[in-house]
Amino acid sequence: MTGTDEGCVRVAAVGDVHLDADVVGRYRPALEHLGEKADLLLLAGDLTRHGTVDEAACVAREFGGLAVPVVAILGNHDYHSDEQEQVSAVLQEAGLTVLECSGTVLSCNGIRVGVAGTKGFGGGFAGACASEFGEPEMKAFTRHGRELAARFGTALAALDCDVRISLTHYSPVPETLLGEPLEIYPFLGSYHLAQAIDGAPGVGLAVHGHAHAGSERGMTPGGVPVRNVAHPVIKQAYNVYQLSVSSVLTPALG
Amino acid sequence: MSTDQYVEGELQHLLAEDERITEQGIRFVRTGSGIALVGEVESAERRDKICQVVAEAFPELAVQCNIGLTRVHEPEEVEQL
Repeated sequence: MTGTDEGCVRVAAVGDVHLDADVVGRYRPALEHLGEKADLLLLAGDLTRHGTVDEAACVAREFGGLAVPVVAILGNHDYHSDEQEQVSAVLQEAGLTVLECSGTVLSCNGIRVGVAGTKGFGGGFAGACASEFGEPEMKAFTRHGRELAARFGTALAALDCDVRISLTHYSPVPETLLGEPLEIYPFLGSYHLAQAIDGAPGVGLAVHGHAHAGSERGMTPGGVPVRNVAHPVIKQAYNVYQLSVSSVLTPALG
Repeated sequence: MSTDQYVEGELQHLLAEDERITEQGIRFVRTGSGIALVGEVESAERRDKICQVVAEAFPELAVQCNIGLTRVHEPEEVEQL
């Protein structure tokens, strides 16, 4: 593995690392040379087991102080103890950037790399998705996913950058869920996320986690490469993707 | 005890909701006399705890533990997009 080519950015990514005291130190040997392999690291949610502050401190210890900027989102596990605000705060104190329906722009090799992120939510995929109809619980479930996707899409489109990257926990497409039971697809992702990604110009990569038994590669209907980087899917400390800015000039879908 | 649908339902809830486990990525398959747990976790401690909790919750089932540890080696390749 050599350095990043000119006009390119190398993105390292992993999700679903589920840190707790029993895992601290496990990733560090593989992160030692991260600066030689990538320009930034994305953490695609489910950073903890139960979403506690103590577990967040483990994440901060494991992924803090690295040679490259770290951009993270939270996943459903990180909400389990209703401490998500404190979890985010602990990570940010350690120097990680934590996104939720928001974005950040990093300078890598002279390229302005914009990353927008959200946990996202379920709801399912076109033709087989949940509807905002009937009981309040059903409407709330559906609405949550749609609202997050809409706010995320606004954040992604608003980035002032050369290339955009989408970072979500839930999947924007069904292809990267292959291997999971079809019956649970509505709990694993939402096509509204793909719609948000395809609605922004120049998105070069969409990264997600959550689907441990899914597949690595997919694509949005608009042609944006999607990668499921859940740790049990990639089966190594992180994956590295190289984006060439010149090949990421696809316009947003009407 | 046969592994009927209700047992499978209870087992799935246990894997996800028991605070000692909280794993949504562990699957199980039927074996002749019980079930085999399949999947990957981040530590040997978690693997052993899952198998222990399941075995205690379903004492009449033979529980085979086929859970592995997810590897954490450095990547050797870069995917060009």
